[in-house]
Amino acid sequence: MMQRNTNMIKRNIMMRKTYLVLLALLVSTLAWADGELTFTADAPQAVEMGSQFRLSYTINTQKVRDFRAPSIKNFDVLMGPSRSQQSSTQIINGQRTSSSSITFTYILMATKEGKFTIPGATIVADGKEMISNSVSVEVLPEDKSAQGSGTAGGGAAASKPSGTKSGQAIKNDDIFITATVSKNSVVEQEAILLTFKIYTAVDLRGFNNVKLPDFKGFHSQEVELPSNQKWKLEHYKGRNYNSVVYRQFVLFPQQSGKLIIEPAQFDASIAQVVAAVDPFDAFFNGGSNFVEVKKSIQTPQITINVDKLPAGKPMNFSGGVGDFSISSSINETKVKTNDAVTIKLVVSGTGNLKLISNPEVEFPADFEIYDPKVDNQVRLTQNGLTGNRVIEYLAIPRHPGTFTIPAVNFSYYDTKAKQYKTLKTEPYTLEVEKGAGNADQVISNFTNKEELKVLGEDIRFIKLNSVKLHPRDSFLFGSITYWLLYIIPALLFILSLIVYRKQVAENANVAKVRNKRANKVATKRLRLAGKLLKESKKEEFYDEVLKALWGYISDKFNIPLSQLNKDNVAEQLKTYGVNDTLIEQFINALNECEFARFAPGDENQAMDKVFTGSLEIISEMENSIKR
Amino acid sequence: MSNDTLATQITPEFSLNQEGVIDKATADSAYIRGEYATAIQIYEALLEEGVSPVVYYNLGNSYYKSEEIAKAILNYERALLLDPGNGDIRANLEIARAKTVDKEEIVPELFFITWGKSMLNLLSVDGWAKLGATSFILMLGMVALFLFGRSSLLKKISFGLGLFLLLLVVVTNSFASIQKKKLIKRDTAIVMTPSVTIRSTPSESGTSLFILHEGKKVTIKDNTMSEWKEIVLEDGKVGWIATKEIEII
Repeated sequence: MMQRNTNMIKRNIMMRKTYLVLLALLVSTLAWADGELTFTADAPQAVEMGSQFRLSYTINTQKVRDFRAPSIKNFDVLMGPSRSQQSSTQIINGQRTSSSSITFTYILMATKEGKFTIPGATIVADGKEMISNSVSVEVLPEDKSAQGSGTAGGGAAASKPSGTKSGQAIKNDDIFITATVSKNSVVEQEAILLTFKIYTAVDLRGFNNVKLPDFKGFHSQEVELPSNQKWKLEHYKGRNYNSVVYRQFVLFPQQSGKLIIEPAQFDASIAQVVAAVDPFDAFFNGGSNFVEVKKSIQTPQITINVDKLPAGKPMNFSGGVGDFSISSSINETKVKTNDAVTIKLVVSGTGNLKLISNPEVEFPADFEIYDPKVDNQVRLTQNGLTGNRVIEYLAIPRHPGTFTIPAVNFSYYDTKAKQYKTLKTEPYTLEVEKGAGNADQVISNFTNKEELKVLGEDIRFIKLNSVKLHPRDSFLFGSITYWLLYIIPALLFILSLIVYRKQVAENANVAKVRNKRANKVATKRLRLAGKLLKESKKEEFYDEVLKALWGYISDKFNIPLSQLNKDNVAEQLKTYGVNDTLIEQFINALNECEFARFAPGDENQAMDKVFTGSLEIISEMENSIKR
Repeated sequence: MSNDTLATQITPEFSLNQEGVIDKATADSAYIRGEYATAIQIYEALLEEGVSPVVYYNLGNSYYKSEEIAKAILNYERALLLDPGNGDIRANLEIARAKTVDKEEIVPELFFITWGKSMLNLLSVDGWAKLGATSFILMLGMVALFLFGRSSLLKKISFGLGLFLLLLVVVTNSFASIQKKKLIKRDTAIVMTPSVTIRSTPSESGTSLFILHEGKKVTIKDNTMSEWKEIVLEDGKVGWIATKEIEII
């Protein structure tokens, strides 16, 4: 040991720099090992009936007292406890570490078939009482075939089949490999565990030309086996074999139907003892010699029935087959614009976790959305992949407002319930406040105008109003009705025009007549007035004179009497071109008439004056207005 | 759900409708429910009774939703003939046309022809006719005002307006007559079969000239034969097509 250590030191000096880190690690582990006390029991997992084996208790210190072994039932104690001490000291780069241990060993013999547990032993180490772990030992029945009568194992589990002698044929049941599947009938994507296990009753040295099937129609993943696998004695079909799990695969069928796993092929190399014939040879070579023999082994072919997933797949079927659950979380529900929003979906469970499609998170359309980040934290087990698939969705809201991120649907096929299941997460309401502007907004002062985002194109909706159906090819245009629309108004227009014209003409005639007759009527009235003057009928006289005067004006200018009065007559006369003095005379005459009617005094003289004045005015007007 | 199953499902319901009243509201609600096959049957039955641009438009929509683009285009075109100024019909026709295979050749034309065409398409034949009659009556009113108006300003205004209205009467009537001619002539058609070869002569043995796909609008140049029609495309290509391959708008 010291020799090795010094060698090690030499080497380490040479490669000090390279191994510096490694050394530090080594030292630290040694130091740890020194500090922690462990007390462990060790025994083979399985032994054959009647064989001897070693049970040992090891403690990594030498300051022990009061070792108390448990009562060992069901086994015969052939020897023990025998105590052995061990200590080592290492000096590495001037650092000295030492470790020491004490082992108590029993040699036991199995006397009964079955599985037995040997409870832990107790010890007081460094002043502390410690209990070791308990060990269980399975005692297998004796080999029924007469062949296995080799040397009984001295403790190691892989000791029983001691090998065959050279020249002896190796039978098929001396060494074989089983290929077993966990299920023979599955649905698509449901995981199957395929195990290759070696059973050997001969001294197996290794395998050459290992040809594994190519798993056509499956997605395969190899299960990582622990590197320090031990051979285990196992009773199989009446014989005891050393067995070990060689390789394990989890298979996910990718198609339905009868899928065949082709046989795997191995070339085993087996050591056979050559019985020493030459005593010298036997002496120098330790009594026996070995020769390597090759044997090819084939595993049986396996057929697996893969059923199609049943009909009625949900719309958003993720492709997941197994047993899953989903949870979601959001980093923030109140954010500012341009802050990232992360939604984390965790799909956990067992099944084809790696093969499922990511559930879609429907962010509002004007969010900037990034590709989701997927992290598979999975472990391969015999039911498939177990663990979490963490999918992180990142989106950045660019506009303030309140948005709803709808619930995420995740549907899968449940292999236990044999039906599709849809899981839903909770929806989120996101409040986005206006945050600080982004870089380009700071540089330029104008607002970011965006193109209208067209989400989809579709035809416009139907019209729901009630309609009147027209007979085919019937038009208003060109129909009789249409032409009547022109003719009737035109006729009406022309007719009314004619009527109007006639009316105008008639009216003109009436005016002319009246104009002509004005003088005549006036003189007639005045003549009557003259008669009344002679009779001295004062009232009637003035009446008649006024009538004569008003009537003359009315007739002459074609103005209705009703529209005439003293106030407007002057203006009316003016428009017809009567000169001012005449108008004044006329007004005076009217006034005189009305005044004289009620005035006392010489009536006859006044009436005379009015009468002659009126006559004069009318004759003068007649002269001045020539129409 | 496929169309066939839909059709078989709705048949009893539809026969019930035939006993009762085939009305637009039933079809509209069928459309809203997404039962386009029912809607199509009722709209088609309605169009047997008489025409209306709205019914053609709704029928076009139903065909569009049932993925029958050629029939959708046909009905949109028919609706547009009756109501050329309707923006909704034009929009949907554009969308339906976008789904057809053949690219539409846009022949450049002078701007005033484009303007004239868009003016012409503002109103339908009867729309123009009504506008013409109204402006005629208004014009008579203006003449009356001109004749009997006292003030000279009124006379000037009524003269100007009357002259404008007279022009309007002439223009509207010519527009109406153009629209009517389009409706009576019906010289455009839509290709109804998915793919059809245009021949140089009116027979199957004629030289293959080019291929048209469903939804393509063609103008019929020679309508004299019953089995074959001579068609012309907007870029001037001429050829013969079997009558059963097309549907006249």
